[in-house]
Amino acid sequence: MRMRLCSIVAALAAAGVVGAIHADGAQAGWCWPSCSGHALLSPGTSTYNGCWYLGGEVCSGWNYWGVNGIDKQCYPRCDLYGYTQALVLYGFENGSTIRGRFTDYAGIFRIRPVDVSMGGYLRAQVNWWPYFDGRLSHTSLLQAASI
Amino acid sequence: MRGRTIVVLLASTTLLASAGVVAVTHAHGSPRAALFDFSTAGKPVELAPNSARAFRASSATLVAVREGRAFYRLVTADGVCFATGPGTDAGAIGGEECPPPGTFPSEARPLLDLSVYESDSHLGHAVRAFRLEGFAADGVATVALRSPSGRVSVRVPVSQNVFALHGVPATTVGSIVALDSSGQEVASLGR
Repeated sequence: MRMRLCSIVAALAAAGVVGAIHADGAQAGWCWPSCSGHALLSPGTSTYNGCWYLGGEVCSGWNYWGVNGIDKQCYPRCDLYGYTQALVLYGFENGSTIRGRFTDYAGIFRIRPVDVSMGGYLRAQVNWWPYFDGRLSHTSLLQAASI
Repeated sequence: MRGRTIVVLLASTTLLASAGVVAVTHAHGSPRAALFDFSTAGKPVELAPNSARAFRASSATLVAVREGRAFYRLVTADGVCFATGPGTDAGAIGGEECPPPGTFPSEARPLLDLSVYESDSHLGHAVRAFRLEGFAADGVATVALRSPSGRVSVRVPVSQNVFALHGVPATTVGSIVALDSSGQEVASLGR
């Protein structure tokens, strides 16, 4: 019985990784932390490449990006509806504005520059974000990929 | 023996969960049941080829067009996704959210907020709403923006299960809330 449970857990884990690669990574120009894995995005995380915020943000280099996508996992936990208690902003930024959508749910999310009324040379970004209602915004486990 | 205990526990949990779902979904006609419904069927549209590729979508249904924005339900390799795009270019997808199956719409999640938020400051995390848009369950009549102090700054009616507003007043956002037809709050998303 224990063996069978282990097999099910292993299969689910493998499916998650495959799903993440298929999200955008197969053809991505930028992936964080890589095109085949997820990592923790906390207030102290940075890609140290001049993102909008000094900490709590991962961002691509400057490019003419077509789509930015994230695969946000159930971390640190999910309720039955996928709520993770970990808020992020994902989207794009240029020299004067950062713009995007929020989510604190697990799932796949994609966004094009045109959907945030931006264009041209941009950075794709994902940010840890605090709540303003007193809740603690936890660390997210996610993969970001842009093409 | 330990394995048998696990099986019994799993079976009991599944039965209880199923009973709960049946009880809720059979509470037909109640305001609570309407939070599980999404009655706008929409109409099939052809996807722009680059959208089908980028969003791994095989088919699209146009749910509504509002405020110059198009709202879609997509069937994709990542499951059923809810998407937006420019209203003048049918089948061109600009963004999507693919919630885990069965989570939207629901009492705990009657609102799918695809609004766009922005900031021009590198200090702090205060944001303004650049554009309000998203999907809502049948039981949601209005979507409202609240400031961090709790003051309602904007109300947007929900129609055909979508909401949209351009030209949002430039106030700092604290949360976006879903209200039913009696004005009672049924969901609040911190921003």
